[in-house]
Amino acid sequence: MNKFVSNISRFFILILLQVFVFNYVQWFGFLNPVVYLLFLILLPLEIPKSVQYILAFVTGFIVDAFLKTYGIQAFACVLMVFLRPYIILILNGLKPLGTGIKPVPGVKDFAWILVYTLLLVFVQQITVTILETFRWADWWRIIWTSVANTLFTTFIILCVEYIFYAGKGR
Amino acid sequence: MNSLRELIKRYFHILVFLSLLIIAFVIVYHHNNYQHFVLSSTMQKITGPVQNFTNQFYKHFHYSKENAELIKQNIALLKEKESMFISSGDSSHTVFSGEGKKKRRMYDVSSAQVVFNTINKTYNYIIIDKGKKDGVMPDMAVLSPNGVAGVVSDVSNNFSTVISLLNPNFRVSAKIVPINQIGAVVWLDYDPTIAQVIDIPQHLMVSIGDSVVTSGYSDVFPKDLLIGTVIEKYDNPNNTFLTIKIRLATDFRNLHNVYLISNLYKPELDSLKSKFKNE
Repeated sequence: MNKFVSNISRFFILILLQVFVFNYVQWFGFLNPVVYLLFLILLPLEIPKSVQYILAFVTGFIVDAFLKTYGIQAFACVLMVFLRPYIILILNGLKPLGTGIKPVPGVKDFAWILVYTLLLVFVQQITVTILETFRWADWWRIIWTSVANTLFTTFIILCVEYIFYAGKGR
Repeated sequence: MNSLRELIKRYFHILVFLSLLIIAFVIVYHHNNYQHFVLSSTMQKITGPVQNFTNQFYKHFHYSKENAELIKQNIALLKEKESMFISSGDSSHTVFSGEGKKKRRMYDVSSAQVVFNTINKTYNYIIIDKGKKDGVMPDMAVLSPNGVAGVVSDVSNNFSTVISLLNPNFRVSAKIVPINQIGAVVWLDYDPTIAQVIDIPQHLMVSIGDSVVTSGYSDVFPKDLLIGTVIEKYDNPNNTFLTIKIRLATDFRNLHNVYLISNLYKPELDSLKSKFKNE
């Protein structure tokens, strides 16, 4: 129950933050952090997969509604959440997933969290950029924009994680 | 049955995943103009050639209908030609009345299909599928889409015979355009593409390529309808007239659809003529 409340409050806080603060960060015309992904990154793996997908869709769509890019963030979030178990599987050295795995600082070390966050954010960002640009001729721009955004977003997400969650997960 | 249920249970999340992806993509497609445009133009690239192909194929089924429409359109255009009206020459009258140029229709146009056509005989004729029932009268002019074709000679209830231009009995008053000299076109060479213009004096400068059109001095043909173009001319030592050969505008080997032109003042003109003869 406690976990449920903390996830719900995280959902609202992160979406409000994204909508009111981070959507207005548009540095150099392309740098736009998507911090609300933290909610999906920290989503407990025990939740049924289909529910996870629906949550991802809803989250993405709410942000879409504010960015007026209907469907793009939702698409990328669903894809990201779909790939999340497989990324964890690879990061854990292809060992079958136990029940107790939590992608939370404290449980996992910094390097693991960093790579995990980087991969997930990159998947989401490249999908968003491809859907936004929608031209293969711009592939070079797609790549560097999504890499830059991934790095920036990951930096902010890790800051937030280590400020608020370090020590709690243990 | 049980295994099926298990299968569905196992892959249910994949179904949810795929359907959410598709929903998201449909939303992208419908609510973002740019993506919509790119996707639909890409699809157009794929479907375009297919549609083009089917169009090419189905086009053949619409020809007869389209042809009928085109004939209708051509009749409407022919009717609006300047030569189809009696032009009122007295400009003073029109200027002071202030009504613009007054035009009275002299010729009416209708269409017919060729049902029989000869080109290789000495006296060639055409049969068309319109007769008395459709208002065809003797001495109506017959035009092909390209030029003069003949004159109606006999009319039955449903069909009419037309004296083709390829007939020594056919003679039409003609004008060579740049010099405006009046002559007559007759068919003498037994070649369905060539006719002669006679009665052109030798001193006139006729050049190859000049157009020969109807003069409008008969009450059958309106003026300025193309008959042919000059391809050959030579002086005749025994004669004071030039021999001019023209290539006919009408392709008689390929005659399917003709236009009938009726003179609306024909009875009036006939009665005048008959009085003249009686005196």
